[in-house]
Amino acid sequence: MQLAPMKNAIGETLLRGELPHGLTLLMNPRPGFSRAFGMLATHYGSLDSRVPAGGGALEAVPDGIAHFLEHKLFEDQAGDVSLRFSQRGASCNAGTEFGKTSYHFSCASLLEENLETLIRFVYDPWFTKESVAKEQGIIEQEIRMYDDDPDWVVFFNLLESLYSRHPVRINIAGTVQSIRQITPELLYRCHKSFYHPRNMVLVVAGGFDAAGAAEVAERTMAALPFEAGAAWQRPRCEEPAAILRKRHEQPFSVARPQVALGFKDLDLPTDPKAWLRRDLASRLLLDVLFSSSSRHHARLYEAGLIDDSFDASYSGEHDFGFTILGGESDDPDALVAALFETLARARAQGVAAADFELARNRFLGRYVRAFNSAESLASALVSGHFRGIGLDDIVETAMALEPADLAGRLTDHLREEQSAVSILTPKDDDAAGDGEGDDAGDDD
Amino acid sequence: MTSSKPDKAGDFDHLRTRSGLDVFVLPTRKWKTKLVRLHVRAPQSERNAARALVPNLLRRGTRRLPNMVEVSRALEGLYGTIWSSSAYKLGDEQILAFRLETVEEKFLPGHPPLFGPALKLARELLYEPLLDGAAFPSATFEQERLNHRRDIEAQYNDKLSWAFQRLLDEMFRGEPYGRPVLGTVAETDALTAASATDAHREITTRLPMRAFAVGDFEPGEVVRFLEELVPSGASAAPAPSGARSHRAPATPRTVIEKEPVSQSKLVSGRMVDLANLTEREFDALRVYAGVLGGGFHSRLFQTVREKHSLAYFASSSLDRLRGVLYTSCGIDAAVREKVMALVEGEIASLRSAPVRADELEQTKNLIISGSRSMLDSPGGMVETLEANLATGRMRSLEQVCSAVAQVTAADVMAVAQRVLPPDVVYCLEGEARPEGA
Repeated sequence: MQLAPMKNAIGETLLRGELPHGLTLLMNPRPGFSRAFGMLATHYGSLDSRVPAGGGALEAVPDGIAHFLEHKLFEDQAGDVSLRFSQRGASCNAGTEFGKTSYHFSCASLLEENLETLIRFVYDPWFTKESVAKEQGIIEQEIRMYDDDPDWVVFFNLLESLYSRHPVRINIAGTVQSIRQITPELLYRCHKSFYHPRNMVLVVAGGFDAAGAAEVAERTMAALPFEAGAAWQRPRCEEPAAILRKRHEQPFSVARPQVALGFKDLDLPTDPKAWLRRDLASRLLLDVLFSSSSRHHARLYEAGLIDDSFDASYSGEHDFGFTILGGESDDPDALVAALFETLARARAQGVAAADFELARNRFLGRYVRAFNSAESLASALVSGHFRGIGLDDIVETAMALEPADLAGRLTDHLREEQSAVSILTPKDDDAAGDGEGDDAGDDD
Repeated sequence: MTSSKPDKAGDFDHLRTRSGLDVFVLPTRKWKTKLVRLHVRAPQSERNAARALVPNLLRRGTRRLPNMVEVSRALEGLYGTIWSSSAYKLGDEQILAFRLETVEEKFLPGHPPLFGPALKLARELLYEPLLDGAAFPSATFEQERLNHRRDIEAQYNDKLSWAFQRLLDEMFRGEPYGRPVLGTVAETDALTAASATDAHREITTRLPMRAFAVGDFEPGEVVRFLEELVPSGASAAPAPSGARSHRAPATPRTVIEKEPVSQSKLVSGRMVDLANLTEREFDALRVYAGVLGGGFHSRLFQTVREKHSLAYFASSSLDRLRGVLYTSCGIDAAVREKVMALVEGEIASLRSAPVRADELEQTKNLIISGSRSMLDSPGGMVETLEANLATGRMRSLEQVCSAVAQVTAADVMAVAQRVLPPDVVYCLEGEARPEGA
C-alpha cells in the first residue's frame, strides 16, 4: 500500500492510503505521545432514516436504528467485544451522530492487536432476537436519561419546529416505541447497506509505528470477505423553506426557563469548498456578534438578558444547516425580542473589519490548539474525509474570507421568517433548593 | 533563589520564586501550546461563594481595560489566548484554578509575539481589577452575584450531579467536605461588593498558591516570568496542615426524593478507613474501585447493566483523599431495591472472596493505560501532580504504573475490608413504570 503525505500548515505528519476493499486509511503518528487512538467510522448516522430497497428505491426503517446498530456491534458470538479491549488495558467506545457513526479505542500498548480487533468487530455483525431484546432495555434507559436532559430536549424540540421533513428532526437514539420495532433482520440490512469499506474511513493517531499499523490494517482487511460496493450517496432531502411551527413550549424539570432560537439555513451549496466557506462564515459571524469581545454581547449581558449559559452555534451537514442562539433566561420572550433587535442593529451597522480580524485570529488559534490532542485531530480528519474537505482547506478558506461573507450570512440566513423558538418552562411543583435541602423525603 | 538543578516532583521540576511561590514546570515540545496554571487553595467554608465569585468579577475589567469587551478583545487579539478559571473541590479544600494558554507562536502566520503580552495581561487581570473606590463597582458586582446564584440553581438541571450534591448534603452535613464548591444560594445572597473585594485580597495575598507550567519552557525562565506575574510578597502563606476531619460512620440511611424525572438516579456513599494506609494499600484501593465500578468490565456494569439490563449506567468512584466510595446507577424507580441489593452484593463479594485473575488484570491494565493517557494532556499532567501533592505520595506516572502492576488479588481483598457499610443511599426518584413496560 502506498502512503502519501497530506499537506498541512502546522507541519504535522499526516499520511493517507487505501486499504483492501476500498477502505481509506489516515494516520497521524505523534512522536513522544504515550497513547494511540484508533477510529473506524462510517458515513452513516441518524440522518439515514431510509435504507436502499433495490432498484434505487428507499424504504423507511425505525428511528434510532443507526444508534441501536452501534450498540449491538459490540456483541458477537464470542461475547462482549469491549472486554477484549479492556483485557489489553485499552478503552473503547462509539458514538452515533447525524451523519456518521464511529468506533474508537485508545491504548498505551498493543496498538496492532487493538487495531485488528477494531476492524474485525465492526465488520462482524451478529444479532439474535434475545440480544436485541436485551439491548432494548438498555437503550430505553439511555433514552430516558436524554429525556431528563434539558439541553437535549430544548434542542430536539427546536429541530422538530424548524424542519418538517428533514431527518435531522429525528432524535438520534429514536424513541422507546420506535426501538421496539427493531429486529435482527433490519439490523443486518442496515449493516450491509452502510458498512461497506468504501463508505468508511480508518484513522490512527498518537504514539505508534505507522508502518506496523498500516501493515496490520492491510492484512486484516485483506482477510475479510466483501462484495463489491460503493460509498453511500446520501440523498438530499427536499425540505420546504417554510418553518413547521414558530414556537414550542414544554413544562420541564428545570430551575429556570431555557430558550433556543433557531434559524434554518436555506443556502446549502453542493460543492465542498463552497460549503466550507459558508460554514466558516456562519461560525465567524456568530463570534463577531456574540463572543464576549462583542459590544452586542456586552449590551445583552449588562442588561441581564444573557449570562454564561448563553451560547451561539452553527451546525450543518451536506443538506441542512442551522444556527442556534440561546441559554437560560428568566424572560424568554424578552430575550428573543432582544436577539432580533441585536440582529437588526448588526445588519444596519455591517461587519467591521477589525471585528472580523479578531474573530479570524481567534479561529486560527483554536485551529492550532486542536492539534494538541490526537483524539480531536482524528475526529476532525474523519469529518473532513466524509465532507471532502482537507485540513489545509480550512486555513485557506478562513484566510480567503472577507467581512462581506459574514455580512451576507446576516442578511440571508439570520432572518426572522426562517426562525423558530423552543422554550422549556419550570414545572410548577419544581423547587430547586439551595443545596441545604430538608429531610422531607427520608425513608427511614 | 533558584538552584541550578531543580528538584523533581513526579514528572515536573520543582522550583521556587524569591518570594517563596512553589513552581512546577514540565518542559516539553510535545504540544502546540504553552500552559500556565495558578492554583489557590482554601479550606472549604461558608466563604466558598465569595471566593468562587471573584474570577467572574476579575474578567469584567482591569484598570487599563475597564470592561469585558476590552478584556476579551485583548485576549482574542492574541490569537484566542485562553484565560479561564474554575473552582473545584479537592478533599476538604476549594481550589481556584486560573489558566492561561497561548498557542506556540511558530505555528501562526508571521510568528506574532503572544506569550509575553499574554502574561502581562494575566497579571493585570489578577492583580489590577477595576475598582470603584476600594471595592468592585456595585453594578458589576450585583450582576455577577445574580449570575453566580443562577449558576448554583442551574445545578438542578443536571440530575446526576444534583443527586450527588444531595448525597453529600446528607452524608457530610456541617462538614467542610460536604459543602457545594460554588457555595449556596443563601451564602451568595449575603455577599456585598466589600466582602467580594475582601475575598479577592484573600486570594491574591493570604491564601497559598502554586504555579504550574507545561510547554516549551526553560525552568529558570518560568521562575523569572512568575516573579513578574505574581507580585512579591503575594501568596507566600504556608499550606494548611494536611490533617483532615475524620468521622465515624453513621447508621445507614436511605433518602428518597421525588422529582418529575424520567430516569431515577440511585447513588450511595460509604467511608473507607484510610488510617495508616501504606502505599501498596493506596494502590490496591484504586484497583478495588476499578474492579467494582471502573469501566465496562467492572462488576457493577456487568451485573446491573449487562446481566440484569436494569440500568444504562452503573459505576463507582473513590475519593482516596477523604476516603469515600461512591456508587451511581441510572435506573427505573420500580427496580431501586433490586439494584441496591445487586450493588451491595458485589461489594460484599469483594470482601469475602479474592477478585478473579482476569478482572484484576483488566483493571490494572486500564488504570495503567489511563495514567499514561495523562502524559498526553497538559491539563492532565497538572491535575495528576496536584492530586499527588494533596495525598503527599509523590511519584512519576511511570512509578505509579509499575506500582499498580504489582497489586495482587490478596491486596485487593485486604483493602476491601476497609470499606465500611453505606452511610447514605440517596435516590432521586421519578415515576415508577411497571417492570418490562
